[in-house]
Amino acid sequence: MNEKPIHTDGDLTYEIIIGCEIHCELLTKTKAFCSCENRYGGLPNTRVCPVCLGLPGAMPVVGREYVEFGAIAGFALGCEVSRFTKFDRKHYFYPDLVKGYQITQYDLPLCTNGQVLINLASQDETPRFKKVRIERIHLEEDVGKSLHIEGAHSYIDYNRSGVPLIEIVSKPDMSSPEEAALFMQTIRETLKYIGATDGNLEEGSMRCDANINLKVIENGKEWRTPISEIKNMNSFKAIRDACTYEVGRQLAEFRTDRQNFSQGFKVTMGWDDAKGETVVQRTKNSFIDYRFVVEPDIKPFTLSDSFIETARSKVGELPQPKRDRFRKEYGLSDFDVNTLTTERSLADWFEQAAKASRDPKKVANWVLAEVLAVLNERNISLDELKITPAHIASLVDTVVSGAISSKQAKDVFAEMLETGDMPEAIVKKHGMEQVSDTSLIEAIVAEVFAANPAALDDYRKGKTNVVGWLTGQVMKASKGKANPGTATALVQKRLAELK
Amino acid sequence: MNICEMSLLSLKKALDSGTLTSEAVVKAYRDAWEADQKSALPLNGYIEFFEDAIDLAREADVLRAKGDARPLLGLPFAVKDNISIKGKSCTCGSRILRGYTAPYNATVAERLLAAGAIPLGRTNMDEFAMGSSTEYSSYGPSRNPVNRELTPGGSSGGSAAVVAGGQAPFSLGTETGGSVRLPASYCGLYGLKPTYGTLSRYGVVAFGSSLDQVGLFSREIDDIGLALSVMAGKDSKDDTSADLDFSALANLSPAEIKGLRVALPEEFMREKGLDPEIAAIFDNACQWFRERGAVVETVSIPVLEAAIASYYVIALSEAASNLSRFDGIRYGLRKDPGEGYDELYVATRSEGFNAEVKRRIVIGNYVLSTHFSGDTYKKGMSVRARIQRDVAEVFKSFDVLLCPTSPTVAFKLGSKVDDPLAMYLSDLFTTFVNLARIPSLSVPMGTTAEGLPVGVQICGPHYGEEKILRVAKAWEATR
Ligand SMILES: [Zn+2]
Repeated sequence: MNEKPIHTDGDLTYEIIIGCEIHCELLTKTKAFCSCENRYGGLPNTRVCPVCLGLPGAMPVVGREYVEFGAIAGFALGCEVSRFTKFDRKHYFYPDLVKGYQITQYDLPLCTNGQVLINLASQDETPRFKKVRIERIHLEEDVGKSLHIEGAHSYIDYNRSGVPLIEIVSKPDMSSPEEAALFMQTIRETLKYIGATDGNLEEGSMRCDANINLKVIENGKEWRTPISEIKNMNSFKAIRDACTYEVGRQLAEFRTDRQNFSQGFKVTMGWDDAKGETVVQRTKNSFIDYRFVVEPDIKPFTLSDSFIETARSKVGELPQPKRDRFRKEYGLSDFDVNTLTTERSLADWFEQAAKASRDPKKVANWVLAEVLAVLNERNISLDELKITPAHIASLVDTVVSGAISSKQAKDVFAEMLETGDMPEAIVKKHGMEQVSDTSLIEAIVAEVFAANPAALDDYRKGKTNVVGWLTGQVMKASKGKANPGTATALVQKRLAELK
Repeated sequence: MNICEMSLLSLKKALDSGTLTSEAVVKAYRDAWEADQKSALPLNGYIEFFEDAIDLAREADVLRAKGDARPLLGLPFAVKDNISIKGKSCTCGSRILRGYTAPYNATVAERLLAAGAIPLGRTNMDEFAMGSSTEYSSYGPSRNPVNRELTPGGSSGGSAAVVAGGQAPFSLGTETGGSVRLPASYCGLYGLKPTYGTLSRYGVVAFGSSLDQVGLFSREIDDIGLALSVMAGKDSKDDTSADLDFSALANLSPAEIKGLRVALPEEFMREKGLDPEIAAIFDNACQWFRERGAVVETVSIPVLEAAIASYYVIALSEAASNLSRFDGIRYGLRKDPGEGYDELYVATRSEGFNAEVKRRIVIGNYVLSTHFSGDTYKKGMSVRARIQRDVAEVFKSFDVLLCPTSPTVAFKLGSKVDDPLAMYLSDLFTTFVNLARIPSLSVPMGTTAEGLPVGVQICGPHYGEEKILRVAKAWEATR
């Protein structure tokens, strides 16, 4: 299953080797090392303090929630979480970096040896998984944001400075641009699922760097092209396009210089979405020297057993196991299951309704068709709805019991969306209970037959279409409450007796 | 009484009994400073004497009249120029921080202010605390009040000069490798480097963060105890601060010397650079302990030979890292040739830092670069771990460890300023204390024939501040 695809290009054969580093901002209440609020946007430089501005004398203090989120993410991605950990400093100069270094973890990352399964099949196909190993996940602080105005000044917003990040480093297990994008997608889905991140790619909550090179075989001789690191891609399309472009570029470069890669050296690139090409930021001859030093302001620390266990218990059920379970427990299709589990909140909402109802399959239909339609139309989230899973469960059960018709149920649904009233209350308020009591309907049929002798004459003359008309009159007389099936049957029975 | 010769504790008593006002005290110190400014060779201990000190003193007098009884109400102190006081400049003696005003209080300052103390001014220092003579200050050198041709030591030379020169009753300095104890020794003062973690470093501009500690200067031992009782203890803003109660230090009783176990590390005794006069004074000190029934024994801690090398590897690595933030982007000096970021950083840092600081940044970065230096930093760290272990081992059998503070007495201004290696060796006897994170007090133990002060260090186990201060108190009582 994990066989590496071999490509050919003229007389060359080659494999693509891609490893990813994903930066993900965590949804903690405060920043990583100070008590400033952790939130996106806002007026520039309004959520800053001496610590996140790196002012002379300021010192970091590790937020507990930060480490907990890191551990939860680690467990969710199949990692081992280290009990003993510490922080280090990584140095480089850039205006958005306030201290001239970033606090990160170098040789003792919080999490190691993880793995995720990426699904190579399309949405309605049976899943086809590939394992991607995760080398490490470490904690790291985010930097500020620069705004360059052409021909004028550069401005920097430090609201993001010190926002807690995790960096997820994969092994070079991806062998196509598509797999790299799928890896990012899977990580995003999982981390969103456990509530560690909002996964908002446009706002930069998640960014991906891809390290890519080729294993080329020419006349039996094996080469490795120099590694390119493509920085800061924040869409799945960018990952696919940039990696695809880079495969072509490296092949072309290989044909001219046949250079083998050397350890420690790489070319750093950016992806220009508009031009559709990678742009060199630092050449491959530059050795990047981060001059790591142990962060002396933060004591190395040991996580307690209870801390570790709490983190483990907060992971909950992940998307893939949940899909398998939903398929089995509720008899749903792959497509339905995939849709219901895109977000944990939706899956939980569905499951609460399903558990409360006698017909989970029908509940799924209601959620997928009606509830999602309302969310999309109004562009709101589940918790902004006036109805709860209990509303849908009870609505479905009311239909299943035959108390109201499916058609009436749509009206009830519309009304409970507006009022938040329970279905039973709405049915009662409008007197909508379907009448299935045969003797009651028989009485109405008798009245209708007595009031329409002309129609009966027509029937005797062979006009069979009066059945529908008479049934309609029965429904009308019952104010729509009569069970239509029962009404039709009774009309037909009485007409037969006429002969 | 001469206010400028009074200790902090005697000033406190005078304020409490109403024989003095805080206004009179602050005015006396300001007058002393102003008069000295006009002298031929001013001490140059203060970089800035705060304009508002007198106003704060008047306020303190009003509060005292209303019954305010905070422990340091109306008592003045001087503070080294690398400790943040909200609204005041904090420049670390450097051009690169000219114009920077601290927007917050360092915790040590905050605690003194909360106790009612009044900051008199900020004191001169070697730029970013790098130096042993205060000659590497961009504000010019400070002078030793004992002999103005001599250095007061460094890097906290300004803080020592103002206390020894009668311009403040007590002051805060900082240490990375001896920067409080050395000036204390040169100027004839008590100078304490507390255990790493006793005092919060929040708001204290970092040099070598794993070694740095705020230190205190005073003319009498009680003053250090009193100030420490107010300043020490856990700070939620400093992860490395210790959660311990130091309030007992406000009232020091002398220690019982009889039976006290005193260790003398032989590595320092046979040191070739040790001045014979200092060796003699040190012997007298040992004799003083023996005469009072202490058990004084020589111990061998071979790893101490490597202390100064390990110290410079770690201190300069951390210094290079800590000083990265001074880049001309957000505050302080900016030189921008308009050619891009790299050029802006280079121009700003070239002009903002002096040669000594640049030298240490370059060495520190070299040491951190595995590409160039291999694992020099790692080796330095492992030597340090040995030092911590072996020194801790000594305190399993001994109460205190005794050694000279400096191999020489205060040297002449200008004599070592162009010889960095000679300057580095001033810290020969002090750096192991910072590496081991133990507390050490430099006690004035005597003077040479020329009348120059000589200090002896009393080192204690982790958080053994009370122990060493009480030993010093016993010594002080017999002088
Ligand atoms: Zn902050």
